[in-house]
Amino acid sequence: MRNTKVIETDVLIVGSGGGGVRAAIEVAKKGLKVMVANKGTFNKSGATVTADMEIDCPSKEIKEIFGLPGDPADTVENFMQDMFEEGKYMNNEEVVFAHCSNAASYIKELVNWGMAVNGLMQAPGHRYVRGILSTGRSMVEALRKGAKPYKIDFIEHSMFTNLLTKDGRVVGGVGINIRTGQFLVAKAKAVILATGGGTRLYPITTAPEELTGDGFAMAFQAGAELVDMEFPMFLPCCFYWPPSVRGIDFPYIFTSQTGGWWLNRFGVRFMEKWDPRMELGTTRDIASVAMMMEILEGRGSPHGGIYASCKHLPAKLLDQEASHPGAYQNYKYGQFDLIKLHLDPREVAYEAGPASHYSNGGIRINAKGATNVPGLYAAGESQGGTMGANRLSGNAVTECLVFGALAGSAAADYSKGAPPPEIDESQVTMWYDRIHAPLNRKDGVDVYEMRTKIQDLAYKDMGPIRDETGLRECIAEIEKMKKEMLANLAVKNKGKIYNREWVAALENQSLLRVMEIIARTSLERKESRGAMYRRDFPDTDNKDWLKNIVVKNKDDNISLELKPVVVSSRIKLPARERVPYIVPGWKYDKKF
Amino acid sequence: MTEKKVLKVQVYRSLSRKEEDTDRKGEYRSYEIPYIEGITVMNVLDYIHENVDRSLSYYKSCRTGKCTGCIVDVDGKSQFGCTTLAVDGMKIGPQKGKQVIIDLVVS
Repeated sequence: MRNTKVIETDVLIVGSGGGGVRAAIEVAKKGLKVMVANKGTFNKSGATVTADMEIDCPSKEIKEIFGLPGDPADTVENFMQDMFEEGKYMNNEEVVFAHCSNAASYIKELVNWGMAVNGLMQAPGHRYVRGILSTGRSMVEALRKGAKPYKIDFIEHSMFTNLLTKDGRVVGGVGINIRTGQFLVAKAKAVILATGGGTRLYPITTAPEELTGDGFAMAFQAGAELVDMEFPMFLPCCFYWPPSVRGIDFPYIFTSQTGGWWLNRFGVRFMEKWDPRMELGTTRDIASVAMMMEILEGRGSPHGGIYASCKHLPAKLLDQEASHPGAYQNYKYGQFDLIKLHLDPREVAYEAGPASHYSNGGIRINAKGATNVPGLYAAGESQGGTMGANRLSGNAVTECLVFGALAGSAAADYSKGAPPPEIDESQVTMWYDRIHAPLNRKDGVDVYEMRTKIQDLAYKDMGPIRDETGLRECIAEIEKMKKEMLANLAVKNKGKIYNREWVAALENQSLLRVMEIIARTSLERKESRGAMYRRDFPDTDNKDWLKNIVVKNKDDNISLELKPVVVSSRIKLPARERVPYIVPGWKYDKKF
Repeated sequence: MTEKKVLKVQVYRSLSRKEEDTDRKGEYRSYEIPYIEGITVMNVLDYIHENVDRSLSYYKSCRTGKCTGCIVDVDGKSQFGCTTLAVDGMKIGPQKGKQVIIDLVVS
């Protein structure tokens, strides 16, 4: 094949966020060759760098290890129980144990590498102070320092699209170098997928552009199991308008701090139907469902959201809130100057709504980060089992740190005993042709037309609220898109250097696969739980649905298997009964 | 009848698009796009790429001013593409002092 670059390494890591880099350090430490590939630039892409973060460990260890005011009453078991309660008991116990018991020592290492500690916090859902405040930028810089003594090769601007297998083992992957257009073939004894989530499936997201579920699609293709995929997480009350700030979470942060109101187009504070704690005290999952219900039932704002308003509050109160050093001092949020953007909360109500935020589910792993396919590992948001049906605040960066290290270590150990990778040339040729097909096709389906169709459909039928009718329609559309759109995608720009449209075409393949998986698992789960609300099954069914849905590739189709939740005596499960999804005991009967 | 507002901008474009060429000389080209109040440089680039010329290339990741990958030269000043307001007549070029890969993408 023309213009192919062959890479040989022991461990290939796809993704250079926190999980990918932490894994690379571990592999290099064990004396093996490691290559980190990334669609963007190292340090300038991925979700880690964007986090306004807290990173969590048991409160007891905050005191013992960091000498900060943690609570000695907290334990690994308490932390685990909180994760299970937030995750609505869908979590995998051995994975959660690895998460909770390893967090403190890996965080300590990060602090030694220079990560800033800006304070402590107790986020909602945590019974103790477990959050160490820092920033994603600081974490990434610390990891860079930790990686410095080792030889780690980075191949930036490189998108991997498929894994190569031989006799049931993963032996590498293929993709393109975006900067040169060159076809890449990587031979590796093991591959770690640290690709983040599939948040870009939705039109409005808090996450970076490149999180298009490539890792999920690659793992699925190679025969790995995925789990809890029906639980994509949404953050309520993110900007829907104007386009400059779409997906930014400032309206949520600011209204829920100050006593702002969330209103539908009739001026009604709709939270009263859902949660007596209203805007100030409700949780992210219930708030997202409540907002989506207003939007779907036609009570939304002109640009498709709800209104988030602080206009009823005294300007002085808001000024006081904006005077504290922190995320929105002087009405500047990150690099956005809200006053200049005509988004002064003293003057205007915002159009906001749920935005795709995180993939709770992902590639099914064991406590060491290994999948069911020999040679394949996952770390960070791309892994499944840690969060169950909903994630506790602060756990995303903790997860990518801990499982980056664990998967790196396990992949290195595996590589030491693995035979040299043998590549099946027929697979390489097949993927070469598929990768180049949209570039070579003269006429066909527009890449961005397909992207918009995917996102609009996902938002409408697979957002915080779903039902059988919508999901069945969605699945029918997905089947149509596979045949009529994906098979006929044509990239208009034929240049090979940094061709954004070609990358978008390849990402559409991942997105459509992730979309199908979420649609089919959502249809299977006949209840409401955590981040997923089925309006045709509005209760949480702990009698029949304490089960995980495991997804696997069967002849290019999706096969589902239900696995009952099994835990040891250290985890307390809820009573085996059906309970209302919304706050227990809360009944709303006011008509409007 | 209300007049439809347009925004005129100039964007740096590489002349050669071929892999084998190493010379990345370029020129500023003019574009007109519909104006919406509060749109940013990134919104302008997205609009041109999706609706006018698919070959326009630029770097985009977080869209929130954190990843620092989208820094471009706006009228002689280094700015975040994603958080800088678009204004009529603006000139958008690659970040100064960096090697141009193509258009606004730099090494």
